[in-house]
Amino acid sequence: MNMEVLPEDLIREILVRLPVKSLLKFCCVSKIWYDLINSPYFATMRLSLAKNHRVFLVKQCLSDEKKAVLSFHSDYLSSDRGTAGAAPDLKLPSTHRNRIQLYGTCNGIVCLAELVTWSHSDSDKDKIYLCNLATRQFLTLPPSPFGCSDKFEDVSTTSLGLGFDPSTQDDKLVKFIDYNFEESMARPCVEFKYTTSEQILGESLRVISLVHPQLCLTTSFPHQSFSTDP
Amino acid sequence: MASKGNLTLKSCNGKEFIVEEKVAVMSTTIKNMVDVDDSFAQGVIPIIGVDGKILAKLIEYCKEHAEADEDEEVKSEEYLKKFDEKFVDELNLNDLYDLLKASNYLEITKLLNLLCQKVASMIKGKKPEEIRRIFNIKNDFTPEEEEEINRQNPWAF
Repeated sequence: MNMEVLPEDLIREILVRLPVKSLLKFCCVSKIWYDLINSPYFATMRLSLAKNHRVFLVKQCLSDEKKAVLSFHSDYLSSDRGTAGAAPDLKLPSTHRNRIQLYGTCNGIVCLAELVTWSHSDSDKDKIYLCNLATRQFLTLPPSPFGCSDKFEDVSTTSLGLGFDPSTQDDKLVKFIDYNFEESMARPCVEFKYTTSEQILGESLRVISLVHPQLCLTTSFPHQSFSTDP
Repeated sequence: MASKGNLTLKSCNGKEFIVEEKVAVMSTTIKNMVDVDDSFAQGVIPIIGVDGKILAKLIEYCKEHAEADEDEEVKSEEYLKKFDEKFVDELNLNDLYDLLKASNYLEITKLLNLLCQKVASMIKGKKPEEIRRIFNIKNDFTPEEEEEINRQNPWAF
């Protein structure tokens, strides 16, 4: 069987319907295919195809290794029996005791956190990840540069949001840290920004601003782009 | 010349098909042509780059779906699903490829989705070198680059 060269848009239409395992295998077919599969547009297309289907985050605990394996499953991609999950075996160094919290999704990127619930040492810290569902790439968010504690153990006063900002055409991650300055009791807010056009999805991740809460609420949330349904 | 409510489609090798308008406008491309220029509705619509055999297949598909859209009772969702399955199963690879291109050009979205899904399920378990052969793609990675990509995703192999 031999086909003439198919136009790129048709190749893309075919590829978005493949399970992740095939996609990763096909990255090395050619440079064009590599770029197609790794483009943010592709991740968006894949997610919109699965829009009317549910996506599950599954945490599998391996008791002897004290490790947990995380994977995303979609009933869209598994409609064909034997197809693997949407993003199986995320290589997150998760410990089975820790709690996994989903914070939202935007353009194929999912934000999730691993919360330390039980710890021997101070080096165990809560971690926040951004994960690209189409390629399984994930990024660990850097610690806050404002001297706030990394550990956001009191979840009720700390929250995260992930969304698309149409005014700058960028995805944004907003992290609120309830942090008591000794005198003013002000609540600083840290806003991270990344552009999904970067191949490794957090290469351009940087802190935009540290702002007063009132200011943040009026500048960041009117877009109503903080979706929580994966 | 087609009677009222019918359109004449002409394949690239000169074969003419008279079809009901509701069937022909399953193709967004044809719909736009008819909407913009009335003379197409009267005369013959040339379907560039699509031969008679493929055009006949396209019409077969559109006819079933146009009728189902009109009367859900006669042609239920289940009936259409079965029809779709049979339709793609009977295609050989060359026809599949030609239909894919034709439905893309004619913007028959439902059929395009069906065909892409079929190709995807055919290729998902293949090896990269088989994919290159099927799609006639030249490997433009150096062996080192290819190894590096595979190293990043060892679990996929």
